[in-house]
Amino acid sequence: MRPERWRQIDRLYQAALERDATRRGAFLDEACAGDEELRREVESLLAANEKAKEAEDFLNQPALQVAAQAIADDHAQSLAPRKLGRYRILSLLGRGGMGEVYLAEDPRLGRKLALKLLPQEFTLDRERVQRFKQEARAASGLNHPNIITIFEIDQVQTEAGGVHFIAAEFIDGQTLRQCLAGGAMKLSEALDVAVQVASALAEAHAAGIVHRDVKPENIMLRRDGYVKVLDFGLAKLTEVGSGEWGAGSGERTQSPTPDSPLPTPSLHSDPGIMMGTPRYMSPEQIRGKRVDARADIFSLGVVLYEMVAGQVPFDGGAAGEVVAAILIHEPAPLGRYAPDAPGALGRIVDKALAKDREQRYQSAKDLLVELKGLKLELELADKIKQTGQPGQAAASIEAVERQPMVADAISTLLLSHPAPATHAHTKLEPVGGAMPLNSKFYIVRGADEEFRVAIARQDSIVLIKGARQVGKTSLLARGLQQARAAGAKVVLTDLQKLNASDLASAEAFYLALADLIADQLGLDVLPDAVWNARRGPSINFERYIRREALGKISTPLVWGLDEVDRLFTCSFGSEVFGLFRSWHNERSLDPAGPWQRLTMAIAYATEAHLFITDMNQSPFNVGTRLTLEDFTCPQVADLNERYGSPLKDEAEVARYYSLVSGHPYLARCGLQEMVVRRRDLAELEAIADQEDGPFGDHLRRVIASLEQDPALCEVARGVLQGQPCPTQEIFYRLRSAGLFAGDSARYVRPRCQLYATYLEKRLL
Amino acid sequence: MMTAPASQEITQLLLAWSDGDQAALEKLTPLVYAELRRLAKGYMFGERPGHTLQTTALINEAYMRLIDWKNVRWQGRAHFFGVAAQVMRRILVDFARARHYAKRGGAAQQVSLDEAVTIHEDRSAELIALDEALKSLAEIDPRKSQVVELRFFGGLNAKETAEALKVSQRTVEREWNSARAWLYRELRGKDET
Repeated sequence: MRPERWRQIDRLYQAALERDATRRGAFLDEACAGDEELRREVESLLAANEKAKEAEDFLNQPALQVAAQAIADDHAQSLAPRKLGRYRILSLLGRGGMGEVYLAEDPRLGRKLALKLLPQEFTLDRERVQRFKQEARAASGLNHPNIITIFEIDQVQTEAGGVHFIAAEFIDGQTLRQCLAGGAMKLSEALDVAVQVASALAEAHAAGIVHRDVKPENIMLRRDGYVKVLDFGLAKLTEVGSGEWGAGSGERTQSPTPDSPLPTPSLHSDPGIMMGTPRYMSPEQIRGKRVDARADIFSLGVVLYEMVAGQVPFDGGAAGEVVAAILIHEPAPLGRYAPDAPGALGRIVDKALAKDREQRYQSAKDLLVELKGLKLELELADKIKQTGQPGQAAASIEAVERQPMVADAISTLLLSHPAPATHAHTKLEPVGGAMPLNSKFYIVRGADEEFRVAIARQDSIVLIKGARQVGKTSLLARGLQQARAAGAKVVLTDLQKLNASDLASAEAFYLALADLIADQLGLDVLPDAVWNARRGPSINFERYIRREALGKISTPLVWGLDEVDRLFTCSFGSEVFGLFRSWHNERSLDPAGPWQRLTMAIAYATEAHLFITDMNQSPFNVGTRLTLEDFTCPQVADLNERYGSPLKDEAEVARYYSLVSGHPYLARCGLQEMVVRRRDLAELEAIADQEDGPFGDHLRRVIASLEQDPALCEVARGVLQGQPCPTQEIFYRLRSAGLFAGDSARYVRPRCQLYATYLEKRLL
Repeated sequence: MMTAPASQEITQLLLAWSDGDQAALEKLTPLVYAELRRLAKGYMFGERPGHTLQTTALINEAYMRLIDWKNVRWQGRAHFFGVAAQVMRRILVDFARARHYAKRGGAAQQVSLDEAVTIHEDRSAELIALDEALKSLAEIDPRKSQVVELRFFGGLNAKETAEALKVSQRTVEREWNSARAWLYRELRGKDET
């Protein structure tokens, strides 16, 4: 290449470097103006620059150091065939973050293990070694699947002097650093690694152990998918104590002897060549402050960013840039490097990387809860994508079997358990109960949008009410999922989960509720710890929610309460509703108060209205009401298609629609029956009102609830014979219970043809 | 004085070499080797690429014992930097060559280690290759080659490099960025594309 040509390339390369990565393409288009070779040259330099920055071993250490390490390598290899204590060294596995690691064999047990030899420079100070041993043993004693198991920490004499070593489980896999050599990881893999690391850290932190040096070199990915965090406590060996020099100690220059100063700080703070970069260190570590668990959270944030973006958040080629970036600059948004990364991930990373540790997640457990939630959500989204392919429904319907109803399927879905075992593309779903988030049979109604808007507005109370089996829980679950995707914390308490003893008194109820919330949010302070017998239960509960839940998180909190009608029959029910109302009221009084961030989404069945004779007792007169409408005829037609069109044409759809009206449960139930039993519409109609037919369970419950009140039965008989309701109030009760429909007491009718024929058969 | 007693002598030898005295290089070599061994001992039981505060101290100290540039007070300070970096380059590349040949000759008898050891790249080979690539770079862009020589072989930081070359620190950073990318492409880019 001629020097002139090179100068041309170099000029363009420099100019491109100064531009934002996203603008470089357009810039080069114009600047190269058809000179394809020029463009290729510049682009290959830009790519090489990125790689060179990443490569820790490329021109990042002075040549003298490289040569010295080559000598050390020779030494290490000559050590390889020997023994160390009772261990037979088999081979050098590589260089870890701190010390060399050998594959060795324990002849007594015949097992292979990893031996890590610690550098002598760090083991001269006995007290330090002691501290390190204590910590490493404590961490090892945690017996957590994501923390490497340590067998032994000991010292042996070699001709080179005493050598400290750690004998640990041999991990067949590679370090995250090696894994990242190929660039960014897949989002799902990155999240999986982050979840496992956070889990290890949460366990260690709970035992009072801080890792202090979380980075890709200390994270190993085993072939079978397990992630192992290494080197707990090792950083204790290198901590800067008094009288030692270090970037973090505040006093920057210390002199071993008065006239032989160590190099001045200017030499150290040039990370370009003299110093490796402290890219995973938290600001407080750089400043030399006392370190707590939150430093690990920062470091994990850096690792997570790097896994997703393919590069670290704080970087720079020139002097002091890395340190400055960590201390001062905000990292580039994750989306810049990973456009597909969900916004929620960006928010998690931002929070983990807050400069002020008070603004970070306060515990690895908090971070873990969020990561797990996001992971689950992405898995669900993925499933929806996979099962959303048109044309699969019809083919899959043959392999159908009835399954028992999964009562709290939704809480299982929401609460960070592993992915649900619902394979919508091979099986139908049981009708009834909550519909899985990825259900292909879910029909979106107006209430879905209203709910979304209410959550976005951060309304204080959203009421989801309706008769039984109209889709309240399914709607609630979807709203909560969206809230989570928008960055809110989400809690779901299903009152069905409470035992009878939990409902025996207000005290027991509030405590049970607080426990459920503490568990889901992963709160550190448990209700038992702050419950004070001198205070009333509602005060205790309010304080807990305000201080420990809202006070410890900065995002909005959306709290879903399902099956709240269980409270209607409790003596303290109205007191509970009163408490919720008071939060709603306080919100308007104090715009900066904690309740601003709380949205309660309360779902309850209005069937209970049958028995609430005093309508003023209605639990809520505040909040945003969502009404779950019945399906329209086109929605039933849509549902029919999703079932593979057992109703053959529009006329059949219309006939079916008049049978079940748009009742969400009945509509699905009948279609599923046709598919499973291969019935046509006429066959279904023939057995529809029979108690051993497909709708039997539902119909029996309708009559059972009605028969609890003989007066209501009498009214129902009259309506069936064409008479109006005696009073408007009774009309409302019958309508809220979902038995009758109509506009007023005068114009009232059974909710659907099926109800009409069944009720006539039973009551007349 | 912090530096070893040999420091004055080294300075004289460096100057002598730059005046054309080839024998000076032979006297310098054992001094550099002694430092190398001292440094290597620090790594014997492991180095810590991530945690380089201590490592950095060791390295800086080594350079200062060899080339006491902080105490160089004569007018030709910049010139002296250049000379020192050139000498380091000569000696270190020669060292790498010698080691590389020795390894190639004797490696067969070495204990056979499993493939995990290949993680462990041959540092000598890359030093030699880098020296060659720098020569090519010097043909099209001498200043960039000099920046790399001063920083990588001479152990100078960006500010000191700027001083030696009488350019701004910003220029040094830019030249370094270009040179590093160019060298990376030459040395490692090929097997990646």
